[in-house]
Amino acid sequence: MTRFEYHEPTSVAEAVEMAARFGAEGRFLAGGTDLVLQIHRGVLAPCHVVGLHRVPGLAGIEANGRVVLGACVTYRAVERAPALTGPLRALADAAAVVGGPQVRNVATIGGNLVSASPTADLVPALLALDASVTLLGAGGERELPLERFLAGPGRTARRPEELLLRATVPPLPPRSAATFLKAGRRKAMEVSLACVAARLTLDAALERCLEARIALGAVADRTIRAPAAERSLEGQPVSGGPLARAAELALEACDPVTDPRASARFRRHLVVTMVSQALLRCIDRVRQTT
Amino acid sequence: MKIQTTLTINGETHELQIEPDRTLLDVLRADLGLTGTKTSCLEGRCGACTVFLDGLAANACLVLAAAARTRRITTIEGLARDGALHPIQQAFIDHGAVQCGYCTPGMIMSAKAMLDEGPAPTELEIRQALAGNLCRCTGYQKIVEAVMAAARLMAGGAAA
Amino acid sequence: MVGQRLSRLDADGKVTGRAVFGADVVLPGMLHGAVVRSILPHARITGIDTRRAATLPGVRAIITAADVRDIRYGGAVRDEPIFARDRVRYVGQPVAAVAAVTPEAAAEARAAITVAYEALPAVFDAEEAMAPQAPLVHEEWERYSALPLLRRSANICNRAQIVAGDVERGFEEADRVFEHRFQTGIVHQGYVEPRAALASWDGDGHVTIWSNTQLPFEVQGVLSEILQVPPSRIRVIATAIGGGFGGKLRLGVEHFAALLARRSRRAVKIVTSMEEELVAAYPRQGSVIDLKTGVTRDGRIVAKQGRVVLDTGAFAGAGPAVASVATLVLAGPYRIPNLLIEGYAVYTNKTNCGAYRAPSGPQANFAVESQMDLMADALGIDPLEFRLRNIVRDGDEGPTGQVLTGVGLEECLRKAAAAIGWGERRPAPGRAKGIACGWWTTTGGSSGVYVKLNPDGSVVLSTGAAEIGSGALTGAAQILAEELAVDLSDLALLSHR
Repeated sequence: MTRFEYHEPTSVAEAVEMAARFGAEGRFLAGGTDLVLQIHRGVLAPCHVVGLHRVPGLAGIEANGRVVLGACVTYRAVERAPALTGPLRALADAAAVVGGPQVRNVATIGGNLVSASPTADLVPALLALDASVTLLGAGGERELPLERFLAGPGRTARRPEELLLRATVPPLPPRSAATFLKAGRRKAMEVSLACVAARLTLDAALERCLEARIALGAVADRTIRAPAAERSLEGQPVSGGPLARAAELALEACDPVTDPRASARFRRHLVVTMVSQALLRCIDRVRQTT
Repeated sequence: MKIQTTLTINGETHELQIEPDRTLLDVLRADLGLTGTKTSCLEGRCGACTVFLDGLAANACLVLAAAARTRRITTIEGLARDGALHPIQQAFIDHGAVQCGYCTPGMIMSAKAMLDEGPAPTELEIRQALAGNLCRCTGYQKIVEAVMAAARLMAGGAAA
Repeated sequence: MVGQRLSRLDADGKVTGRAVFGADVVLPGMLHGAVVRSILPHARITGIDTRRAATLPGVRAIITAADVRDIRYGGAVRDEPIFARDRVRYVGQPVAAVAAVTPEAAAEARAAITVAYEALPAVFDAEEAMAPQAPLVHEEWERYSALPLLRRSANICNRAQIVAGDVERGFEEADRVFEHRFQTGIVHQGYVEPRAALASWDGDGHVTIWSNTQLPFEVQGVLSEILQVPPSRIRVIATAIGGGFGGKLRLGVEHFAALLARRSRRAVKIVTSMEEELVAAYPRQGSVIDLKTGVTRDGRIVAKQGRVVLDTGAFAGAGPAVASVATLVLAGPYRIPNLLIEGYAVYTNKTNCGAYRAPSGPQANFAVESQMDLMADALGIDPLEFRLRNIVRDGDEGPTGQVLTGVGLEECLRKAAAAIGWGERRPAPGRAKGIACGWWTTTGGSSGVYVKLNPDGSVVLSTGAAEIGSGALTGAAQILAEELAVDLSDLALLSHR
């Protein structure tokens, strides 16, 4: 374990001031399930750790049209939030399959976003829901689309002196539904072999797709969208042919690796299968709830 | 550089001088002699170090002790009352759910966290609550049975 | 008392967290030890520099091969040094050890010790290691002392064989001959509790070791050799054990704790990390198994030729014994008039392997029974029927000449088949049923306990049996309580010497 100084600011302003002072030698601590682990493994060696427990205003969930998730909201809170209904249930579904209870009670969405693991589970769900993230630095707040926030494996657009405040999900059009699916070798305590989030918005007759979002996790160097697959669905009837074509186009967007958990070939198989399933479930959900 | 930290554990407060990079697990075991919380993977994967933070199960190996000073910490040592075992502890004994016993404190803590929230879990809910606790001896079946029996007892039924 | 279903005597301690496991033992003022391990699979050590480590705050002792006896110890082959002396043979092999006032200081000191290596050609595949031109893992293998009945040669640290009848003639009689190859990997026992030890010397040259070992007397014996101290001055106290499955049968870190404690004149505690467990423990040998079996048209086995190659890693460990048992298990519980089975334990530059519950059983039974199913399928015979036609019966002579008695295999197979509804083999799409049988050996040996009757009528049972979770100690207490007609509450159990 490396030696560091520990700080506990009691306001957002104080936290940001510390971040400005420590720069790249400082890291924020939320749940700690990733940061403490990386420090223990010697991957990260910050000189300053800034705990966020006593900073008010970071752990709330607001829902009025759009949904705002504070950076220190835990997976447990996301899993159980009454406000996450309808299409937003996909977020709760994603939160529910991360790790086990001990991890979900402590780990936060802010931590998940900032650690930017290519295998993150909440990130695809947020991406498929057009989420943005808000960062606060000495120069003020800035809001970024999530896609621009993710920069590579373990890398984001966050500057060392910035604090991630919240993720925001805009209101969805009517007749929308979202799904999240995760593939793993076991049902808990598992890193995704591949995960898929999808959002579909249907027309008034519930027969054609107006808008589509497909996000893929664990099959590229970061969570990605599948824009060609998404465009291919716009205006199309939501039946076998277009859905199969979208799954094939999603496959072309990904670039999975072979690692001890799964082969690239198996991951590609998972992508095609899961994108199809996710789209079908979205259609079912829209039809059930409309 | 050590910092002054006050930890509230099983209802008692402890004044400590600790390095800020020490984990709660290490402080519990080495500084406070509370070795009932076990050391194993040190990566938050096995659940042997499960404790409660404000009643929620957490892996102590990934919690910085310094960051836990505002939390109400409970360890396995805090479950028995005046020498009387908690019903979950008794159920583990009665149902043969203890083999080597190393996963046992963590399992009991996870089970208690679940039962404190809702009294009548299904078998699936029990297995999901224990999903973060690894056992290499029992195959989990008797642990699940013990938790079911404890649930019935705690809900006012007879111990089966 | 015996035969009653009682709560485990150790259960209370385990549900309350009061039971003392290996890493739980503490002594005031104790130091913490850490082991420096090789980072190369096969290399000459050209230098070890401990100077910087020695100056770090809190460091109280550093030891290397230069500080210990130049001996070899081990199981069937005495090939293991205490620390690597001039050569390392696997990634993870101990090269030095340090003791310091905190675990963090010990880890820092460990990182500060630099070892200079000259890489040597290494071999990682057991079959390659058997070839005549393979690099030798142990150049001086001939000088090692070993059990006389072992057949060793170069990288082969044992070759065992079972022969019955004449397999070549048997294959000629067969209507069909099947050949298959099976492979299995190295598997760690996966016990949740890491190995640990705490050692403390008193002023009279006696040392007490707390350890989560499965075999306290074994540890005592090996420590006696390593420390050059008579066993009567070594007290091994077995703590509660968080799972063993065979992985805690042999020396873990007890010797390093004892050596560091003697050097520093303080108690020393060492707890193995999970990384160390996965790099330098005693996992199950990986295997390559070749089976050639000849059968008649109507499904009778007439000949079997098999070869088990066990990759036992850089030191023999349990490999030679496991290779021998493997030959018996590979014969399978079947009547085979012509049999030739060979078992090899082979050195490679990988972690030394040991015993994992029923050593060689999973590998050999996997091969035998998989082939039985493949043959049954090829012959068009029901797999259960195929087995029933060939299984051993009461009074048969087994492959090593032992007359088998009390054979309940047919009854067992038939009951199992009935229990799973064998008649309906494919009840639903994506579901099927299978049946297999195998055999495993039991061993006998002598054992003893100490029983002390106290003046107040209570009893102390001191035994070398270990409690790894199977209830052995409670069982022993039940037997003793019944024999002496005392209550279990008047009986104290000690598992140590």
